[in-house]
Amino acid sequence: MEDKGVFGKIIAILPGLALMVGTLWVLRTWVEPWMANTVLFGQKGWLVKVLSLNYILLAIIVGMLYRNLLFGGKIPAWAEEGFRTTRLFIKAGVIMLGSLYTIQSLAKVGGIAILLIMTFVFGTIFFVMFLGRLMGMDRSLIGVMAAACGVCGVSAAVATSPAVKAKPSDVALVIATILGFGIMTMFVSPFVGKALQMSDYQFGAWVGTGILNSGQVLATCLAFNPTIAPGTAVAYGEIWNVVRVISIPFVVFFITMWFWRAEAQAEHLSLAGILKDKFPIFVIGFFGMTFLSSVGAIGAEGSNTLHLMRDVMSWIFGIGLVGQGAYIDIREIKTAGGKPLKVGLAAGCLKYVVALLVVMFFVSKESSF
Amino acid sequence: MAGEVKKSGKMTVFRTDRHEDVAAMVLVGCLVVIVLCYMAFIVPTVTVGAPMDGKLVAVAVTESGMVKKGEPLYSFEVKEKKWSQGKVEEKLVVREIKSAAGGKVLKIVAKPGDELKKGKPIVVLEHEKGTLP
Amino acid sequence: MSGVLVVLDESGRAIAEGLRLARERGESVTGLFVYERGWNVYIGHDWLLGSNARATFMEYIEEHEQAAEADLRARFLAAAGDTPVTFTAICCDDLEHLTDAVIREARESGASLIVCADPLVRGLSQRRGGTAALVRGAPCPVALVGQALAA
Repeated sequence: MEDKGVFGKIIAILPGLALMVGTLWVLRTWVEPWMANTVLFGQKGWLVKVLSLNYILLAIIVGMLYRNLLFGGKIPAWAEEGFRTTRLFIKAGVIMLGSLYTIQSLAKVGGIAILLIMTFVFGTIFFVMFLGRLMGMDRSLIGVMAAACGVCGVSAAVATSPAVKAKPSDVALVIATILGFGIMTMFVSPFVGKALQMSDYQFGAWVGTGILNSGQVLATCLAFNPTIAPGTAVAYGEIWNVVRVISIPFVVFFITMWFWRAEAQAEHLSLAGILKDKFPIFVIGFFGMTFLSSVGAIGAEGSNTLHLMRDVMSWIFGIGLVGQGAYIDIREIKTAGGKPLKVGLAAGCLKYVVALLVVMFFVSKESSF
Repeated sequence: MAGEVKKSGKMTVFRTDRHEDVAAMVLVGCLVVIVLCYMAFIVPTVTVGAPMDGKLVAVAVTESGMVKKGEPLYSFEVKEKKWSQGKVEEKLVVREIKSAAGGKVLKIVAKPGDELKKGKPIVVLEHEKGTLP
Repeated sequence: MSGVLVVLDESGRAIAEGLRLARERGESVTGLFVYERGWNVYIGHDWLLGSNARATFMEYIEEHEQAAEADLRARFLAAAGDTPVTFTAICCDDLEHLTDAVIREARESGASLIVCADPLVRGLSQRRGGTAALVRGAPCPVALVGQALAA
């Protein structure tokens, strides 16, 4: 494709972006109030209270409808450039989430998060390695599967596969499996959380540990409780998420070492090199926001300034999530199968359930901040 | 025609993910600056609303009086949920809401004893320019 | 140019059948290799990929595609032997599916028959509906070479 220049690029982005923003605007100004007031099965706001529908879930669902029904499976060329900005919005939202914490609160919860996540990440990796070998899976496929189930789903699979020389068609299969599982958990978890009367802290910890794809952690937390403020599900879930995202380079290093052990190439591996290449630098922005909020540069807690800031944040996320929904192609996911599906389901379900049990029994409902 | 193959498609709107990471940080920076400038200099008055559903107990300021940053504005009674042994215990607590910025009290909208929903206005303030209300 | 278009894929099943059909019909034969460009959209799900992980992955895919082209070209030319054949490599747009590019090429070159392995083992095609779209959209008859024929 020819280079269109900065101005041309911005013009190309507009139609898709307008669709995402417009969709969210309609959902927030019309659909959500309508749902809250509609009487269904004799209960006012049944859609909200029983189905836990809120604008976040709706944004994802509408995005999915666009892709799978309206566009017939493919994002059309006119909208594609705009939809590509999805990741920019999600990343910007994650960076802004840094303002929900202070350095002290991060230090308090971060310890538990690191402990839980490291246990689960490496526990899952070893489980997948064991199960994969038992089922006679290809070593490189085991590597990708272990990374995908262990850390951040698609991100980790993509980051690991070149290092373990995985076959692209296998990677595609792993991605389809992980996404299928992730989307299922995204819609199921809020119900489970409400049924078990989990607190925001527990829910954030559970989802942050148990859901495979890091993006879905965010969406699930917001679906459980769409409020963005300290002490809500998304505030806790995001700490878990950030720890996971940071751990990707380390996991890539570990799995690559395992894959190339006893071979000459292993000697050329260096953690520093992988860190330099794969460290997600937007995380630095997240901590930058935490620093700003710790020194009180962005308004006091409960102030109108912070209120406005969080409103901006929820819009940013909402726009990103419409786009994210549009990246979900149900037909692609339906083709998942074979050994990756079996191993992925086994590892995913085990992690999901064990994380739930650990959180229910060992994490208090009371949050630490 | 053989071998004439165009190279890989674009990564994202940005050249690489690193560009995207940086762009996200710049976008956030701009948004934060816009929000802060808007609140500090442009917005003429701010309405301090109820932090959650509850009851207004007392108002500590008077209309057209001045208030300093950190001084109490009003007290508010809320139901606080506490988890103990797997059950929710609800407790009534009175919270004192302090002013986030100094300024002049323009209007007091609610009166003590009012049951207020979250976000309902209580006090209207004209904050000092350059401070964050 | 009118002739038989053989869609090359990793299974290589279409090659022999394509050459045979072309000989039978007395037509020229072209081996078609399509570069898969859908990966960028396919991995678009991943929201928090930082830094160069995506770039490294795309380069890795590119290497794979180039190796596959070289390999399939050699296999096709070897199978053709003395028969005069042409080899063409094209690229699908990153919004297109692989089979869309095959249809486009068939239309542009005025092919009279497309020979394609089923399942088509190339790039993301197995994740994206395989040959169904090809059969539906092709401007000429499509011969699908299945497992039974290859055996």
